[in-house]
Amino acid sequence: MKLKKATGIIVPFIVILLSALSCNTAVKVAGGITDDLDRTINFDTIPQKVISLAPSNTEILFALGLDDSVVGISDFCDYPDQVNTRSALEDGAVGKIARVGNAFAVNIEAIVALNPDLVIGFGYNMPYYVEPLESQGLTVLILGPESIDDIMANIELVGTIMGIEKTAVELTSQLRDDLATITAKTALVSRPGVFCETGFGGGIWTTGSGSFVSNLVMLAGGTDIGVAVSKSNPNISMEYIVAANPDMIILADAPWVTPADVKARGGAWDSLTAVQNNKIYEVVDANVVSRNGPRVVEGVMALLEIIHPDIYAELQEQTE
Amino acid sequence: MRSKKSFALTLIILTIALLCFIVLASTFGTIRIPALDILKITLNKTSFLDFQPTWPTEHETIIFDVRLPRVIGGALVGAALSTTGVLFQGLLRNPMADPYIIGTSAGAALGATVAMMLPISIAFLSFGIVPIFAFIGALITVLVVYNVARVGSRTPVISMLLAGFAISSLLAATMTLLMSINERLQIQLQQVFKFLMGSISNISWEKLAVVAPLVIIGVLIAQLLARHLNAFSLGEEGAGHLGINTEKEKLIFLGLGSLLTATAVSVSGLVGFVGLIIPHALRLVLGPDNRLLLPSSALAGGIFLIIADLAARTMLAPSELPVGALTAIIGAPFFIYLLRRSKKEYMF
Repeated sequence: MKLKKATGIIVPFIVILLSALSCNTAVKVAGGITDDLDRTINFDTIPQKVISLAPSNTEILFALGLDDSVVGISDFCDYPDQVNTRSALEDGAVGKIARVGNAFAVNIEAIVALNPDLVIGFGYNMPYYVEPLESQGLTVLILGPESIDDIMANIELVGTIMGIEKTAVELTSQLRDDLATITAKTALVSRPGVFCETGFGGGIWTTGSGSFVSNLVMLAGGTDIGVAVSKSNPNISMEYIVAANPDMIILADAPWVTPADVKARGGAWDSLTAVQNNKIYEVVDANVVSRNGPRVVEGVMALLEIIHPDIYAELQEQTE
Repeated sequence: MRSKKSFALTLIILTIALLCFIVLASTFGTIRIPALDILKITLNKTSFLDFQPTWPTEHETIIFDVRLPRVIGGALVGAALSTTGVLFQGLLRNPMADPYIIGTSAGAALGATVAMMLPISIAFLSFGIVPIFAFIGALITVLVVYNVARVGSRTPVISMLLAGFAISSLLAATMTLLMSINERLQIQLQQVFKFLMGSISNISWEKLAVVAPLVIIGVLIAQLLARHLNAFSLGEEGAGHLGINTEKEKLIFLGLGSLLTATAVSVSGLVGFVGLIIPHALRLVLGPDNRLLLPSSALAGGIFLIIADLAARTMLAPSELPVGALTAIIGAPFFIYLLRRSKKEYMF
């Protein structure tokens, strides 16, 4: 009898205590947040004004519903449309999003003038703009996702920092589910060989082992022959392509090469079954396969449409 | 004074060596293909003989469509650059002269950079926009250098060297500027550098059909004028006394060398070291007579570039290294060895 009364008080007390603790007015993770360059950053409060220096980061912020917190974006950020159209809020505190340069030419002054609480950059090595910004007292976070899991971790990291961890986990769970649906189907069929061409000039370039495009091709049920070369020097020899004889060629990140160009090359290219059967494809929206952000599922779907059009059609029907 | 016999012998040995290296280099790559198969495949193509294929068809494609054009292309580029090296070293009487000294490299590099910035795609004689612009850039630059250096009807050699240096610096700076501000170039920086450091991966028989005649005719014309080049070693006045029309000859040598260099650059980008060192290395062994030096340099330069390209495409296979870096890595130690070993004083 007494126990029942006690639990009647203690349990609600614990619930209230826990919910109070989970209410994130302060993000105090033990040891601080670690970004992708192993830099530790402490956040005392949730950032209110965020600047994003890469399209993938901007997409993460908008996907998490953090539109209002974004005060600055890079020149290349173009998705979603709200980046261009968002206008001042009612209280006039946040206006149109300013453009602050891009990864190659960051406008340090513009960033400092906006006085952001957080700047999110992108890179696998320390970008040059970190030191100038930090010397001005700004907080810089660098994201450099290599795998799909890294992208999920990045989304959740941003969610944690911005106090909306739950939303972030919901988003990543949804993305993981979508990917699982796709891979469940692609696991049942054979994998065609795919050659992903990118760039032009001074040899033949692919994206290399462990690159984003390569990962997407694997998820979409293909085998990327470009995994033989490393991501850092993805120059591939024609011999290797001839020997591997891929079933299709995808121009994944080659904005200035068209399938007609590949067909017209002649020489050893004409010996490839992919060229003979006209299986040279472009990705309609190149951005979804080159930005390591929340549109990863769309990226896989874009490649799935090319590699396994039957599975793609099946999945499209299911969502309608 | 070399006898005609040793002259002929040297050239025969070098020619045989070149042919051997062409076959040998074609055996290596991502797959080893036996030399005998290579000979059979090539002979099959001539339609005189017909061997039964004991090899998979992709070997045929690899040998005939990928490796042979590349190896032969490398030989032609090496020959063109070495010949130009001999011409310019003789003409400018400067041991530091290489094919790029009067602005061809800077002009080609700027031309290629501009081509990479433009969103258009053209093809002429199966060459794309980048090699075409590189070729034109090289030639225009030499024309400008020549005219800047010209005083009335004479073009002093020193002026050409200085003008070449100044204009090269200007063009190189322009190129760096463009790379810093142009978005399109920023995104393909790796490809830009691959061109600048040299690469023979974009080659085909169609391109060779254009390049081979240019290089071979160029080398032959240079050989015909070898004695005149010898005369230039006495200085312009001395050559004039021997009856050479120095201004006209200067123009011919300059034009010939520039054409050879521009052709080489349109195939392989900027490959350094070959044009500078091969003439010197052969001078140490064969002496400074241009009548022997010119053809020997062409053949030896071809062999050298075949070796360098072999290393470039096999060391990190199936990835590739820039051949321009390997020419220096392979060539410099060898040249230092020759220099140290030579007992007699170096005759330039």
